[in-house]
Amino acid sequence: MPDTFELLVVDDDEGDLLLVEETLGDMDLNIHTAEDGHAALEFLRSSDNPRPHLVLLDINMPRLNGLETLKAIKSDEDLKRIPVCMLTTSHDDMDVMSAYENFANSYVTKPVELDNFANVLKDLAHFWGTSVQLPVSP
Amino acid sequence: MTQPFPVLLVDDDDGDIMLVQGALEEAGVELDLHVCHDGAEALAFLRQEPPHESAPRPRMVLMDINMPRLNGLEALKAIREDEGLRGIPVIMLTTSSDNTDVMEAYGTYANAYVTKPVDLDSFNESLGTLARYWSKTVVTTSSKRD
Repeated sequence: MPDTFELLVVDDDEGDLLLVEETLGDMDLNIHTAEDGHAALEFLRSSDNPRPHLVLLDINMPRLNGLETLKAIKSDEDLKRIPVCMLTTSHDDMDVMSAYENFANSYVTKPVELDNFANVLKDLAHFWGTSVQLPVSP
Repeated sequence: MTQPFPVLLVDDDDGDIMLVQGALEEAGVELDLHVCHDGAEALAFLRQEPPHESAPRPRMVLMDINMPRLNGLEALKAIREDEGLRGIPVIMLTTSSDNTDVMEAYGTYANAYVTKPVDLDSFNESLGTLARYWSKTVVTTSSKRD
């Protein structure tokens, strides 16, 4: 795990953002948020911000949705190595297929029940935070 | 009832294959584990070429890097360039912690890069976390090839 794990959460639902912050708050993470795809790309492309170790990306959002944002990240030479995990209520097979074919690093659905949602977030943070070797940009 | 979760493990080292099998057993995660010994065999398996005509489409591939014939990074590239295979999650599972390999793997759209810990307990824990995350938390496509 890097010294400080920088996490970018992209979601238009303030309740969901809050839940992520609360659930992962006691882990040693720096949580950044963006309310849609445009805001996320702006965050990622600004040199003032730390490079996230992981992006959690909702799908259904106004302005620029998650799949469009994913495509933009994965076709950007500078950004494409950042792991992007879709975190969405959509169980639609087409969304799952499209996400993986556009190189989402994983696809996780948000459970409706709060406790389950918290557990899913912890699993996710545990895998990406402890088991995975992340790219280090030179 | 649990659905079988087909996983393709690609590794040329029989000792490492046994370690992975042991770790999955230890973790209590039931996977339908298939094994190929290099990248070329893995591609034949994924494309259902002889003698793999009845191979299932894996829900994830665990891919070593250093292998004869076709190494893991070359096999990953071939998978990502193949329309029918590109959506299959590929997780690099290797002893190499070389950042050049890590950068190349993510640049070729590996889903994750996991280094094999040398210590057995850490190895088992890491594999358990990986198997639980990918078989229970993550949604993967179960779509058949057409």
